[in-house]
Amino acid sequence: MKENMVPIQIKVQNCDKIIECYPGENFNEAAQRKGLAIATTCGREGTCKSCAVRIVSGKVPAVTPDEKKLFDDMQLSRGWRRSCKFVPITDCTVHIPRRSLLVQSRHLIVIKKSDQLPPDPLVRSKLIKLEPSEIEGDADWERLLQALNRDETGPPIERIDLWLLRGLSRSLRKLNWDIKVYMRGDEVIGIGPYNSRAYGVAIDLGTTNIVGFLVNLETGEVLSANSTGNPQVSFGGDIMTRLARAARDRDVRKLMQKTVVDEINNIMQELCANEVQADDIVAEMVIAGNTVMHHLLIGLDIEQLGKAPFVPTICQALDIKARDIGLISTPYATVHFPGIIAGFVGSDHTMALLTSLSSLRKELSVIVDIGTNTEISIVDGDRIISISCPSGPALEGGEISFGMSATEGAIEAVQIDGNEITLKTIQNGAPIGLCGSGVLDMVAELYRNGAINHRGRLNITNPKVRSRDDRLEFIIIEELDGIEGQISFSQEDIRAVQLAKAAIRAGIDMLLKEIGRKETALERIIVAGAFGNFLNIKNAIAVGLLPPIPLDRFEQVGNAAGKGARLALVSKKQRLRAHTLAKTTSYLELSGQKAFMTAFIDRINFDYRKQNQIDGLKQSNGMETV
Amino acid sequence: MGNKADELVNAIAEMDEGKAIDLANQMLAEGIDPLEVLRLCRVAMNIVGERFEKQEYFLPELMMAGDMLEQIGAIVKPLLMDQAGGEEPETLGTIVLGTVHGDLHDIGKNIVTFMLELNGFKVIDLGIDVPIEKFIDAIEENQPQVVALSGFLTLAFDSMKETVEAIAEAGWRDKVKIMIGGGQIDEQVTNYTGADAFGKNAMEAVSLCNEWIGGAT
Repeated sequence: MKENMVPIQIKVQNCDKIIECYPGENFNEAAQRKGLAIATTCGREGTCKSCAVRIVSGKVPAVTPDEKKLFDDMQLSRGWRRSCKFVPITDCTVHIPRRSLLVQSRHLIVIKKSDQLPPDPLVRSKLIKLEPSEIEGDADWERLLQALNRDETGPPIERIDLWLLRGLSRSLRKLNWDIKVYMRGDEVIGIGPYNSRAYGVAIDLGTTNIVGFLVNLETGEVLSANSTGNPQVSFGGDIMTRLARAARDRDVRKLMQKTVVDEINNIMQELCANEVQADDIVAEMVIAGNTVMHHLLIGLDIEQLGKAPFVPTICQALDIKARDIGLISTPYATVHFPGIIAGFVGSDHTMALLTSLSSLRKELSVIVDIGTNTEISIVDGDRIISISCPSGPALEGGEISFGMSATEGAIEAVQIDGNEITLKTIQNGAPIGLCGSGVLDMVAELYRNGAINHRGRLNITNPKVRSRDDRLEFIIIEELDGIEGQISFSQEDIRAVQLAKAAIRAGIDMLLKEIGRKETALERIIVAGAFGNFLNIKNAIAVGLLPPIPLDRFEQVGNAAGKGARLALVSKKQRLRAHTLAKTTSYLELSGQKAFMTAFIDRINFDYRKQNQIDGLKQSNGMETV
Repeated sequence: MGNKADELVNAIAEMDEGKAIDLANQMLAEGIDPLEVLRLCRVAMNIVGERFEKQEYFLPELMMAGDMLEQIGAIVKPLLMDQAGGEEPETLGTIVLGTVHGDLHDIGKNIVTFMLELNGFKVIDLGIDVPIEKFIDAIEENQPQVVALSGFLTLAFDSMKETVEAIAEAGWRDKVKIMIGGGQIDEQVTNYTGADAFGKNAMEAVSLCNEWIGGAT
C-alpha cells in the first residue's frame, strides 16, 4: 500500500537531512525509520513534549487543545509542535532542537589507576607446542586434549566449543602447531598464537545508557571504557512502556532485542579498536542490568514481569554463549549474567551491592541507586533488604518539559538569588535543557527562594512565574533569548520531582521501619548511579529526597553497577560473593502496602521546619559542599 | 448559622483539620440537619477538587481533605441512621469498584471511592489486584448500575479488557455502565478495553455516575 503513495519531503534544517513521510504517518516515526531518533519519552502517547520540533516553513498544522496545554502562544506561533502528533500534509522544513534528538554521544570515561582489579579469572591459558601430524597418528583434537591434560593442575579438559572445533584443524596448521589455548572449566574456548592475549568485557546495560569496559583478564587492568545511549529508548523512555510494547507484539520484542545486541556489538568494536590485536580473543563477558533489560536481551518471557506479582523467569546467574544472544563478534565467549534479586531489583543492583559492600565496615548503611526505578538496599550487619521505588524519570531529566540527557548544553547546576539565575551547563555549551542534577537544583532553589511554597505550588507573584491556560511555569530563558527557544520549568515538572523524591524517601522510611531503626542512626548512605554522582547532596536533603544526616556520611560512588560487573568479570571469588548476595538479599514489595502509601503522601510536601537545620549541615571538616 | 457554614467550608478547603472537626461537632450539637453538614462537606470538597485541577493542591491535600471528611462522616452517620429509623440511608445508586488484577495501585482508587460516597453513592470497593471472578460475584450480589475499573500499569489495560469481556460473558454488559481510570488513559484505551467511558480524576468519575444514574449534580 505505502509504496504507491507519494511521500512528503521534510527537510531537517539543522541536520542536513531529508525525511520522507508517508501520508498519514507522523514525523517522529518517519524520522526513526530514516535513522534519526527523536525522543519519545511517553512512547508516542502525546502526553509529553520531549519530541517537540519547530516547523520553520511549510504548512504548520492547526493548534489542538492538547498542544495549547503544552506550548504557549508565542511558541505555537513560532511553529513548535510535538513530532509524534505532527502528520505532515505538504513538504516543509523543520528544526529539531538538540534536546529532542537522541544523540548517540559517546562519553569518554576516565579510568583511574585504582580501578585495577586483582585478577582471579575463570579463563585460564596454556602454551602448547604439538608435533606436526603423522600418518596413522591420532586426530587433531585427541592430540590437543592429551597435551592439555598432561601435568595440568586445573580441572581436566573434556570438551571443546563446537564452533571452535569446526575450524580447529585449520587453526592448528596455520599457527604451525605453536599455540596458546584458552580454557574455561572443562572446555576449550579459544586458540590463538602463543603471544596472543585474553580480554574480557563488562557491560552495564541500563534503561537509558549502556556502559562498556574492556579488561585484560590476565592482569585485571581496565584498558578502555565507553558509554552510549540505549537505542531501545525509541520504544519508550521507561521500562514499563517498553515492557508493554514488547509483551503485546512479538516482532517488536525481537526488534528491541536486536537493537540492543547491535549496540553492544558496536560498543565492543570501539572498546577493542585500539587495544586488541586480531589474534587476541575476547573470552568472557559480564552483562548486568535491570530485570527487564536482562529478560529482553536473553529473550525470556516478560509479560508476567509487567503485572503483579512481577515474577522473573529466573533469578539464578546464567552463563550463555555470546552467539546464542546474537553477539557474533565474539562467538565463543561466555556471557555471564549475574543473579537477580527480584522483578524490579535486577543484577545491576546485585553488582552495586558487590561494589559497595566490599569496603563495608559493618555499619548501618543504605545504598541508593537512583534511576527511573530506584533500587534501595539497607544493610544491617548480615541482613540486607532491598526495595524498588517507582521514582520515574524526572531525576534523570526525563518527562520534564525541557529535560534532556547529560550532554553538551544541558543545565547541570542552578543557583537562584532573587531575580538572578545562574546556570552551569555541561561543557559550557549554550543552555538547551535541563539534565537530572539541574532538575533537582532547580526545585531546591525555587523552594529556597520562595518561588514555590512548602506544597510545591509555584508562586504567581514571582516575576518569573507565568500562567498559561491556567498552568503555571517558571521561565528560565525566554523563547527569543534561547538558541533553541524557551526553557521553562512547569508546575507539572515540580510535581514530577515531588513524586520522585517522595517515592525514594518513603522507600528509605520503609526500610528503616522494617529493621526498627531511626534515620539518624544511619552511618553511611551510598549514592550510586550516573545521576547520583553529580547530584548536589545538600540540595537532595533540602528537597527531602535524602535524610538530613551529616554530609560526611554520604558517599557518591558513581557507576557502582559497572564496577561490580568488572569485579565479577575478573574474579571467581567476587562472582561467588555476588551469587551469595543475590540469594541472601531479601525483597520487600512496596506497591499495595498501606504503610508505604502513607509514608509516600507524607513525603510529597517540602519540610519547611527543617530548612534551617539543613542549611546548617556541614562536612565534619567545616567545609560546605558546593 | 450562615457564618459557621462558611467557616466549615473554609476550614476544610484550607486544610485546617482541628477547626473543621470542631465546627462540624458544634453545628450538629446546635441541631443542624446532618444532611446539611454533609452538603457543606461536598461544597468544600468541590473547592479542594477545583484547586487540585488547577494544580494549586496536590495529592497530600486531597488525602488530608479526605481524612477530615471521613472523620466528619463518622460523626454524622449514626445521626443519619437515627433519622432513617435505624436503616441504612438511601443512596443514589450502587457502584462496584476495584483495581484490576495484576495491578496494586490504590491511591487514585481510594480517592474515587471516597468522592463517590461523599456524593451519595453506595460503593462496593473490592480493593487492589482484583480477580475477574471477584468482580462478577460482586456484580451479581450487589446489582450495581456502574462498574469502575482502576489500573495504573500499562499492562493493566489488558486486565481491564479481560474484565469487561468477562462481564459481557456473564450477561451483565447491557445492565451496567463501565468506567475506567488510572494511568495514561484516553479515548483509545477506553475503546481497547471495551469500557463505556473513562475519567481523568475523581471529579470526572462522579460526573459520569451522575450522568448515568441521573442523580443530582
